[in-house]
Amino acid sequence: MTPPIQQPKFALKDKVDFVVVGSGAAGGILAKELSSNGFKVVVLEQGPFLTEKDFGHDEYLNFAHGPLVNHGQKQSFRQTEQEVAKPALAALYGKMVGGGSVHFTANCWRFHEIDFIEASKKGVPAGTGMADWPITYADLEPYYTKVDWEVGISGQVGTNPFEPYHSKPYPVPPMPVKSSGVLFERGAKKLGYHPFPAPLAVLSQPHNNRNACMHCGFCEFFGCEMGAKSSTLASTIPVALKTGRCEIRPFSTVTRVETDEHGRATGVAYYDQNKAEHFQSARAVVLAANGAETPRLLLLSATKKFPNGLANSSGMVGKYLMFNSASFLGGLFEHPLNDYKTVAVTRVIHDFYEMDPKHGIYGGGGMDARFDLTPIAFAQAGLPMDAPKWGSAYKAALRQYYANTMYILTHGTSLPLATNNISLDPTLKDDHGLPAMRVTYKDHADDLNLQHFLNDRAMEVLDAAGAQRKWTYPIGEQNFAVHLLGTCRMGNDPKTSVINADHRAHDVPNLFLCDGSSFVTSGRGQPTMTIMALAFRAADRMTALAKRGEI
Amino acid sequence: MIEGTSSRRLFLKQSALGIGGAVLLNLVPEALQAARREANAAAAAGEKFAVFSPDQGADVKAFAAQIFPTDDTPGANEANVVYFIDHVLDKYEPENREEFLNSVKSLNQATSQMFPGTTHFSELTPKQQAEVITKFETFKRKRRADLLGSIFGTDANHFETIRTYVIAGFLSDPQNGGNKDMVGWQLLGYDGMAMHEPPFGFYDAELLKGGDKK
Repeated sequence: MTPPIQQPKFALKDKVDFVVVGSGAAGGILAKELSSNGFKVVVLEQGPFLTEKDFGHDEYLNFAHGPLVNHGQKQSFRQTEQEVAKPALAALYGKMVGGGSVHFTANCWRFHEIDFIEASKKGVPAGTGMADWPITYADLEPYYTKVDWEVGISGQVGTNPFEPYHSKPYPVPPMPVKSSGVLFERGAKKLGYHPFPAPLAVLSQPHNNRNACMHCGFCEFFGCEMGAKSSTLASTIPVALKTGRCEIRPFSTVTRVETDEHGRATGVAYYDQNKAEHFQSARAVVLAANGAETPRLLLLSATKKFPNGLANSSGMVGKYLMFNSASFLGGLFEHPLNDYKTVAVTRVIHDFYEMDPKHGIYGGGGMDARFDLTPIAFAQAGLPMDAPKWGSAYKAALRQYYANTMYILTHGTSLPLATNNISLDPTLKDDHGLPAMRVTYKDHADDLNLQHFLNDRAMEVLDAAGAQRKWTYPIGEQNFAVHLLGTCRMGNDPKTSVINADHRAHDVPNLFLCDGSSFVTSGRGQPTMTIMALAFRAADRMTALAKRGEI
Repeated sequence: MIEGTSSRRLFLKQSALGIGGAVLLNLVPEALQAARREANAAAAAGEKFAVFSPDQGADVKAFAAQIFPTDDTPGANEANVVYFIDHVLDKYEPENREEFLNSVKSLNQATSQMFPGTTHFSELTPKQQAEVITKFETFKRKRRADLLGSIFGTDANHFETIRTYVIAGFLSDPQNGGNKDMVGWQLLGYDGMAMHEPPFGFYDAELLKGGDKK
């Protein structure tokens, strides 16, 4: 558990410039940018500091023992605010240095221009909180490009006719296409769609002194032992540590942001591995704890001055939780695809990124062709719904389907609804005795309609690709998610948003929030790229403000 | 532990993970080697279990052989599935032992109900065992959205709990003592290689050869 590179040890009473809570897609970038800009930074991470040598392909060990995620955390779930929430894990997130960027599928395309201005272009559906972002795609574009080059994204600009403007090509070419990509491309082109090579956070060639992918096939829910997957653990965190100004403290569970009588943040309280409590003093506090834990931490930080939770004068902390809508389907083909090899996804379409108004569906989505089930997971969930589940027929189905199957994931908009949110459970406590996270979520009917539409189109793609058999998994209301977005939304109006365009809390001048919680809209799925771009931009803004003495 | 998931959780370590989890992870490769040696030794020596009583072992073994029977290809018996489960409950998931053994008890209760006078699933003929499973089969095919839920804290009945361990024992990395000689992986057509090169499958190979004329 020793960090791979020597790092400074700041004393707790040392008023460091920034204390960053969370070391994932956002925190890992904030750490690098802020320390590179000359600031002293302490990063507090709940999980362990693992390195490449800790990662392997053992599926049993990974799911049974892998400390990559927050399984076991006490949370509760309900669909509506009228219900009493029941204990259940509903918000799954990465819990280790590098966070979810270590184990995510690696889809890494950018949001489009429309995602930032959809409310003003398309109107606000009744009962939803659709709003424009206070920044546009053009504001974020330079930072998306920084992600491409500094974190390391493979892809090819100009292959997606719907893509937003790119100021620079990707640093490395797309990953080699696999059979699911070939078949998807064949089917999609027959139907007049525009498949393109998936932009992925996986290096197809060496870049920034990191290795290229060896096509092991263990991206989703595994850590990459080659360092080829572009997590913040592999890319920006080593740079942060090399500055000598950044300390990453694993096994540090933050419980509170402390504020003084002037309403300024003074630092954060946290538990260490031995459940001993500490306080890290800092000039500014940055929460990058993810779209579920950042709002929870603000709610846990209520004081007399901030009775409804810190930075919550708007009442918006925790509101507008968005999971991204999705559907999943499979196809069986005549010849072996052997799609368990290499990365999960190699082809994507964005033809439905903006739905034709004639369908009467808001938002939009896309599809990716994938195979992302390791053997045990495949045997549990990879076969069609009606396949045998035991006996020689089950064995025969596994033999017939495993090498010859591909999947399509459709992904799309989740409308922001105030009734979908993160709050504190009134009775359930976490392992530290603090109010547990309560997740309230029910998909909007429009989002479910969108998924039925995309699922139908994806079935047609499988047909056009020549599938011998195709099947879909039921589309339904979600009660479990890995995309945690929108809960401390960004905006210009302190009455309707939590942070401003600089990621600064409207109510607390030296508190910044940057992660999935900052999103105003959900995009169409695959938020990691945008979380990373926001982090690069937020670090620029914090640096400018700090250098002008405005923090 | 979360009520409702702790009792249904499959092979996930929550309590072990809390504070000592990462430490445990570091110890694992060595411990695993030991587990594998023990599993193989146990298999060679006959039915000596660390956790299971001989009866429990026989019941689990019989159930596993119903999920993955030995037919024209090797099944759960050849893959050492029962030893895998015994050893993971011994070494890695001691806190899940009780839950698993309760599931075995439930299996035997179903057996007694259907075939009065019997007390153990393993006593039944294979045909009778199949009848028990058919009657009580409620294995759910997961919605995709539920797959993660099924992996990270699932809602499962007793049969599904045992079946999940059986699947893990049949398809886990052989270093854990199951999937002996990779018979599970061979059934799937999974090569277990740590690296690959394109072409990966038939259709991308066809494309590389310029044969994609369809």
